[in-house]
Amino acid sequence: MMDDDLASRPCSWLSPQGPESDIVLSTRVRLARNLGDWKMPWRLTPQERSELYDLIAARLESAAPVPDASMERVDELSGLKRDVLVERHVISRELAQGEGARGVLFSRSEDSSVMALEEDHLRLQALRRGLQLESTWRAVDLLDDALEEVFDYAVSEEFGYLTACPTNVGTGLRVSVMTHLPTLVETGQIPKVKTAASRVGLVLRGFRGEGSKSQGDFFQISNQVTFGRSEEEIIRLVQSMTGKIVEWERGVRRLLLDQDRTVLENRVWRAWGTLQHARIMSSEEAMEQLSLIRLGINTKLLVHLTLGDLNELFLYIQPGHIRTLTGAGEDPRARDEMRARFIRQYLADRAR
Amino acid sequence: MESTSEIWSDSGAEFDATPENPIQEDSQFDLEDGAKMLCEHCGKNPASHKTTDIINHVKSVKHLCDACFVAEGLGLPFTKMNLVETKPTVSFQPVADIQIQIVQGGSREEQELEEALGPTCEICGLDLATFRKKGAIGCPHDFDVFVEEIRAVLLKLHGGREHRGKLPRAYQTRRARAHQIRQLETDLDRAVAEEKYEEAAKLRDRIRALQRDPDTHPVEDATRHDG
Repeated sequence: MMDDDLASRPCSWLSPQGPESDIVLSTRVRLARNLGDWKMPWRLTPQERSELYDLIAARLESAAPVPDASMERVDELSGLKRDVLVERHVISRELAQGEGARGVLFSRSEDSSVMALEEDHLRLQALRRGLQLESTWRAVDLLDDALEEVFDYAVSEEFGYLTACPTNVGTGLRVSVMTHLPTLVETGQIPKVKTAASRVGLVLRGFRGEGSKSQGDFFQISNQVTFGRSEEEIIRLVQSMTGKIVEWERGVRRLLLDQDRTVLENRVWRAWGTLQHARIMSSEEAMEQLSLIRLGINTKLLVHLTLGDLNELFLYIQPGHIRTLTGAGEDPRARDEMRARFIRQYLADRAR
Repeated sequence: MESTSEIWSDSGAEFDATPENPIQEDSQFDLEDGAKMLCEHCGKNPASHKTTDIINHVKSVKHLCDACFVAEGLGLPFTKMNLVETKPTVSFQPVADIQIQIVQGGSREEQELEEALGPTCEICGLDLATFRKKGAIGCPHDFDVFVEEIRAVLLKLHGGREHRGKLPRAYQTRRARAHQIRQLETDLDRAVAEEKYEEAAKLRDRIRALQRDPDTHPVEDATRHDG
């Protein structure tokens, strides 16, 4: 069962010891899978949905593809707990906001999970810190190998893995690399990055994935094409594009530092002052200010906080986490006050 | 990979600045007389990157400044940073839009008629009009029912014609077994035609064994057949 102290623990994928951690926060790889004998989730009656959920949950628990994992019935969780799971990337927002029987298999390490009855019958994912495409893909590939022993997947020779939406047909693979691109945003380069990505079938999405806005200068680089290209080809494509975007961001950082170091320093330190003294702080503003602190740490303009502590703070200031950690209610204004207080206290404790 | 090199072909450059294979250097390059080398592209800023292009197996080395390096890195025209805002060209569109485009072949009446006469899946009850409107698939059987429509959507969305990549091992085994049964049946027909009844009986037994036992490994069987 979902333990109560979940929201107070850092996520392993936020650790700054991963490759390219100055720019790449995390790597996520997911596979969409369906069972051959059942209608897609959106066509199921509530009765069928409930039956299928029980079948999936039983087989997932018997196959035990994730060590020490257990099944969580998402439709029986409170809205607050669902938010915490979304913010920790254990489940998608679609699963949190869906209807009817649905759930997730995950373990305390939170680095792998299997969602049941989201858009597809099964969504398998692996999540790792930094840029680790190969190993994250291998992890989810192994998870898939274990599950194909207990589920008869819907596949065809021509179409590969059959999914509810044509955008996932074929490999069912979605690779997302979460990158922090503050100086590409600052210098208006993001449209160019989007153009370059779209030319090869990749897309730059906002913080929360599909259709979401960027927050705190975080962008997900992910593949659009799932059909007609193998998993390895898709992984290599994302790897190559991410490498180029990382170099681009680093180049612009150096350029800005060379051109006028004081301008950048001024912005970083103003953000530091705001976070240390503000009394009301929305999550959007917090993301913006923390993004500047992150840039300051990575350009060594600010050495008062470790990157690890900062990454954790990005998680704790999310609405579900702040409510859980401070006991704030649903009133946004009260929550913004609690957030400001939490950040002040956190910086007082962790700043060197 | 073909698709990656495509975009970079704008600049004619092909380089891979991965962390394992850093080909640019952070320090500035000194000329023999102690002066700083200038960027070979803009000729203004000091060169701080060395890029290696390999075109038709010929290696050429260029020294670039930060701005030109990052511009070339994404295969985009050299522009002054901060000034040029390009609008993203969207090469991939939402499914619903694509289905609308595909549908826009004939008049509205023709479409309605086509949809009214179109197939309905007997398993999930999805009909052509709903499939087009929702852009979603109702059950695995729909891939047979709406096969032409799905092929068109997938080609438009992914530019792909057939799946490449992983398939479940059990599925591959079943597929190999079905293939082997088809081959044995051809052999059987020939044996009967040639009145080789003893051989025909053996072939029939093997076909039955393959059909009966889902765990018979087709590869081992094929070896026995060859031996």
